Amino acid sequence: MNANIIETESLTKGVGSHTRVNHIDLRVPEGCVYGFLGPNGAGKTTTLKLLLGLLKPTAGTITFFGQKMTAQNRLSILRHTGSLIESPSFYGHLTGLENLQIVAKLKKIPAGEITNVLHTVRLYEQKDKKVKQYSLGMKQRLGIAMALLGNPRVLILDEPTNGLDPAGIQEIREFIKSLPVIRQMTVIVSSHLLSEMEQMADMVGIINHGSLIFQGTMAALEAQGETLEEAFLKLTEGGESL
Amino acid sequence: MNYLKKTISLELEKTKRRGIWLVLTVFLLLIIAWTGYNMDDERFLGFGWMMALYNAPLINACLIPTGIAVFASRIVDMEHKGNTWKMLETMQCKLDIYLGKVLYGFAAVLVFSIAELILFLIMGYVVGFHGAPDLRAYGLFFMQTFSITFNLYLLQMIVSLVFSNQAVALCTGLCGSMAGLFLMYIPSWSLLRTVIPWGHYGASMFIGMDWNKEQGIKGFYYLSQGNGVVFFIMGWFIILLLGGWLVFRHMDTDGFHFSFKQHRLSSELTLTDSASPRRMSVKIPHLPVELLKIKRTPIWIAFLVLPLISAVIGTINYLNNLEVLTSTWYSLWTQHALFFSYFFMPPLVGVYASYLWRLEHNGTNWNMMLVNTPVWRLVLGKFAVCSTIMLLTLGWLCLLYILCGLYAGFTKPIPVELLEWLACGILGGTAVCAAQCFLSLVIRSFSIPIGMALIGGFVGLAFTARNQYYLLPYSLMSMGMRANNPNLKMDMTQFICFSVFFILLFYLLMVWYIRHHDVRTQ
Repeated sequence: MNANIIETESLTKGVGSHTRVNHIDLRVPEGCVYGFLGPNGAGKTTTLKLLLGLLKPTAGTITFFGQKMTAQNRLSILRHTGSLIESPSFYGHLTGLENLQIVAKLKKIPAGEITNVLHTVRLYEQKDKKVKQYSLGMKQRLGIAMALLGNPRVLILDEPTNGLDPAGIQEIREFIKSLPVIRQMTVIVSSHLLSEMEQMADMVGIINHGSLIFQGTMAALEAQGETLEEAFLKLTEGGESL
Repeated sequence: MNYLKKTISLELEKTKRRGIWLVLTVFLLLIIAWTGYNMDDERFLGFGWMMALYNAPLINACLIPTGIAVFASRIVDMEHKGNTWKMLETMQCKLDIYLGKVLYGFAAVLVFSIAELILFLIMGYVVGFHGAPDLRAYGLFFMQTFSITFNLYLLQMIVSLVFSNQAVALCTGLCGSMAGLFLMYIPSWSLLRTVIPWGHYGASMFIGMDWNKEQGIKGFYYLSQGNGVVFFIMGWFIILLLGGWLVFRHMDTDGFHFSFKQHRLSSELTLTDSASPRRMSVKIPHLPVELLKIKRTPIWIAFLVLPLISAVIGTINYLNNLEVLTSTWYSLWTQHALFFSYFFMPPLVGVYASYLWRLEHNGTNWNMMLVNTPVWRLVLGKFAVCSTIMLLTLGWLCLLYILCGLYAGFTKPIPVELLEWLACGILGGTAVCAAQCFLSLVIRSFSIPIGMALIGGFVGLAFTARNQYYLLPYSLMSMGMRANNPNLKMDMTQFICFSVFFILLFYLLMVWYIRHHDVRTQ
């Protein structure tokens, strides 16, 4: 297994009964698709926001590319990441292209890359439409395009298949799976769908009630029960919906 | 009755924690404070009851259009932001949804008008007006305030419904306030005052003032109204109520779509291979990010219209009062700048700042911005764009001033002091930009910081009256522009130090606020 590209030590958000993330020690190896799995409200989005410095941790540390993340080096580290958290960010009164131009300017990326990502997410023909007129799936594609701009080393995607049609879901899953091979990216992808993880992830982290209850390879997870679903239910005490 | 109760209670439930009643209360207290200001003077107590009724329409005309724009926007915007139209329409018929908003506004305006009446009476007794109030006159005033304000509510509600971008509604309210206030000073434009809904406060006045230059105010008397304003009020009510319904009925759940809008290809595209559109390459415009974001913004409407109203009406007022206003360019400047700098420029800057921050408050945009931009640069970008638009607004005001002076036939050269008024106005205005940017960053509502700016302008006036203008950014801007008196000599060191202090203070506060608070997304 490769060296870890992201590590967290005792990452915590909140105190007492308001603890949303509780002493999480993530280990994300370079060049893998890391599936971050957990029931709704388990703390997946909070953890991903903590990784990006969008939330201030109550305790713990985050290490990216071997460097401990601080307020000073946060943006220089994040320059090598792309992210889509919660739902896509966009300016509805601007076109898809104009939104990407803004992100490209912020990331200091040449204009040529915009065309590439538009083709990658199959939004090229719709690029001159205002984003507020996009369907949910198109907005999601735009969010993925924004994350891909600049060919980052790490891609953090929070439930990226939300709002996509079945063909789109399959397409995005295949695409995510190909990223470590084709673009040498490391992808952290969160989901509450076990089947989705099964198709995409090499490594899995399972979070429940803010605590990381399992971390390892997909094969190791399968070894915990007869089927993946059983293993997951066993770990999450079977009481949560998937 | 049950329907009414159910509808209003549902809207009340929805507007919980929206601070809607706080908006009305603050505007109400401001109206009372302004009306009661200086009225405890012994000279006025004898005719205090009539004087209050004389002053009230002017204050209502100036404050209520903006206040009711904030109020209506708070009620309608929550549906746009929450994307709730599609949910509501599965549970209620469209007419019920529409009537819910109308009835809630009706109840709120009724409560507001009753409260204003009661507070006027309390103020009179507390200040010690002589005699008893003429209850018929006060009853008439209540009826007028209620009906005119309700019409304005309907108008603002429609604008807020049609344009999900609330900048349009707030700009409409501001333009209405300005038009209503200025039209009261132009007797020759009485027809326009009678026709447009913002002019109705002035057109329905039934108290006149007996005044002359030597003796000042001698008393007040009743006027007979022969201008038919009541018919216009009723006409507007019918037009707005039915027109609003027609607009709402044709509105889709994702907003109103204008049929004349054409889809256009971006001009930033260049064809590299005409045979295959898939080979088109894109360019990134050489503009700062914050300027790219305000493409297609409606705030340019207010930018153009507000100074224009101020210039047109200020010039007409000047030309109608040539016997009193004898200092040509200098007199014209006060006519252009006085009301504009105190009452309209602060909320206009508020619109600019609210619009700029709303772009990030929407959806999950904070996530995108904060992983790509250092906080200091993001804040600087917003602040710089806000200040630039403010600068252009003051530049536009000055250009209109020069054009109006030339139209008025001034033969003397344009005063060189104009450059100093402009420069000081820009410095003071930059302090207002910093304050408003901070408010709009911390308060996620679009309209509340704009209401606060309007109040800031009034408080600034009070600070200026006490010669403490330097304690508030809003009064710094007005004093910098020499809006009260173009010949005033200011302590420039004090002016510059306090302006720079406010700019730095609010800039640092913004950076500190973002750095020390977790990202909040919708």
